[in-house]
Amino acid sequence: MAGLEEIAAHLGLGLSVALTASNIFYCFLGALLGTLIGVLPGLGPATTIAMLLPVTFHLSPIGGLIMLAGIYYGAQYGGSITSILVNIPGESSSVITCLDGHAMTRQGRSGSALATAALGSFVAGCIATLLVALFAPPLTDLVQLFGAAEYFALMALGLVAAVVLAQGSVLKALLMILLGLMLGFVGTDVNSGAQRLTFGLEGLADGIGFIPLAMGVFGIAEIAVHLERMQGGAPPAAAITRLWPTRDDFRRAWPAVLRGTGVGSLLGILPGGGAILGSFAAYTLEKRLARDPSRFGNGAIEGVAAPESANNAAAQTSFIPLLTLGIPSNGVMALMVGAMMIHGITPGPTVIDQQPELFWGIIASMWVANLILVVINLPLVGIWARLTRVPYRILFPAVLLFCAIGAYSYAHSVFDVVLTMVFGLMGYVLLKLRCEPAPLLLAFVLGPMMEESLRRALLIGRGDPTVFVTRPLSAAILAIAVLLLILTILPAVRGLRQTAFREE
Amino acid sequence: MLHTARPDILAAGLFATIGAIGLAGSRGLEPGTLMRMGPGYMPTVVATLLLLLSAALAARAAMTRPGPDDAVAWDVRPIAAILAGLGTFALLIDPVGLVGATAALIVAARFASRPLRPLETAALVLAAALFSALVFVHLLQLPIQLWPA
Repeated sequence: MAGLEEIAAHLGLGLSVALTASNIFYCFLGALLGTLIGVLPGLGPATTIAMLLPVTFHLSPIGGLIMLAGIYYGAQYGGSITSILVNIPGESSSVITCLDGHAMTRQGRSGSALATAALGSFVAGCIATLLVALFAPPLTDLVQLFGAAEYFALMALGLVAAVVLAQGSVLKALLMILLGLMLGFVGTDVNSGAQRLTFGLEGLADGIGFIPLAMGVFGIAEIAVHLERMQGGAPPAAAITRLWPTRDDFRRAWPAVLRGTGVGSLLGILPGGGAILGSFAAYTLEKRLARDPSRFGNGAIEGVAAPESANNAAAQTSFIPLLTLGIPSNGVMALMVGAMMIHGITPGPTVIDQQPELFWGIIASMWVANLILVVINLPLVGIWARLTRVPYRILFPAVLLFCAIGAYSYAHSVFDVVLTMVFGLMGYVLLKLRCEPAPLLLAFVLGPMMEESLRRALLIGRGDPTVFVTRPLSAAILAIAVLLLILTILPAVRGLRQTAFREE
Repeated sequence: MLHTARPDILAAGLFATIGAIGLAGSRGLEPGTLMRMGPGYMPTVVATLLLLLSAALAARAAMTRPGPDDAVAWDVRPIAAILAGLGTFALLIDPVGLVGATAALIVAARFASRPLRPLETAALVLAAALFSALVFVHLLQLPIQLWPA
């Protein structure tokens, strides 16, 4: 762990970057746009980020990334508003918030639920930002010792974790990873210059674009699935009552917020974890600890406070593996890798040394974004609530249009729009067949890096595949990966995993 | 609406097809050796794994009895309208410009939901064209043509 003075110096540097007028503006704009789109039913953080990626391209790298982080937190908070008021989870990590959040709304306590979600998220955000500042530097130092073999092992562990933590069938998650790797191979091989799997298509020579793939599987596919579900139209949003929680609510919510933050922070760091698992685990923990568990599902404020704090904490700490190792831990982080690369930054341990302003600026802006969210959300919550009533039949053509313009304008390429169509169709079919898209995107991003480190490790080891097991660090990481995979396949654990993901 | 039981068998078929395409596509590529991997090494390995695992998925699906949750309801209308919208946008953006492409995308996409409401659609086209011209072309200065050249 870093010393106190060191942390203060780092955060000071970060704040000096994050608090410039333009960066505050981008952060604010990101949080606002994120909430605006996240609050619309059916558009979660991944879709929102994929859709808004092109907007950030003409900004400086730091401004663009700050805005994206703001979009991420905003979209996540927007999802909570929809869960509480309309009982439609805007994203998978706010599924659990629907249970007690909407129950509170039915009892006329929607204001309390919304304020608890906002304040809980803010507290979680503050603590998680400190944790990131505390753990990122020592982890980065550790990573400097890594060779190609360790990198490969670590990425393999990341993919295995994505399988373990994906919902539904393990076999299908594995297949989605293989498909993602396959898509990552398309393009020109860096070592030999050979065209791989391009089938003579000139547009594929530089590989499959990240934007068309992300927009297709997260944007287009989700819209189509949502349209099928929404044919009846969305239920009307409930009115908002008195915003400030009662003293009794406060008393119950505080400890839940802190516990949720702890659970979320921990699970966010784990590869494949992130917000979804954090919120589920925090809810389960509260229910276990409660003196009267039957209150849960009937408007228990802890059932809002804990998962909302947990998913915000996890959203933040999931940046740790990305910033220190360069390895995205979940689908949204895979989107961030794509964005960083587009801005010419290769995420990983070198960023903190070579671009400390960027690194600490992003971390400090996480905290700023959380503050901005509280400021814009509590007073504006009435406006957001009204937005949830905009009919989907008006919304989705606009969203689709932004995707099309984004895909086209990034490289001025009609081919990218066509690719977006192709991946949209593929993503739609896969979603319908209950295959989760997140592992696919993760593998797509990790694939080329994995192949590179695999090749290098084998070259250094003179073609001896035992390099992965004779180096202790690499062996240990691979052992964890294998153990995780075996545990997941075991029937007993499988049952547990199913209950963890079941809506109660 | 079409009903298909056994989504897993369909999924296995889809993954196997992609695996087969991948295997065929890597055939002309130099595989190399384990020490010096050629461009074809990893694609071949991954495509083979795709084929093997999709066989496993199909086998598992064939051995289990279809449950009540196993039916997938396909509703072709929304996805078809969405793809048509993107397709017309792609066709029109270069020759006709942003305004025309926007109108085409929105009209096509609106077929995803019923009833069609022509007036609402017209209003949406106007609003969307105005918004994207202002925000994307004037404000963000994206190099997109507004009108036919």
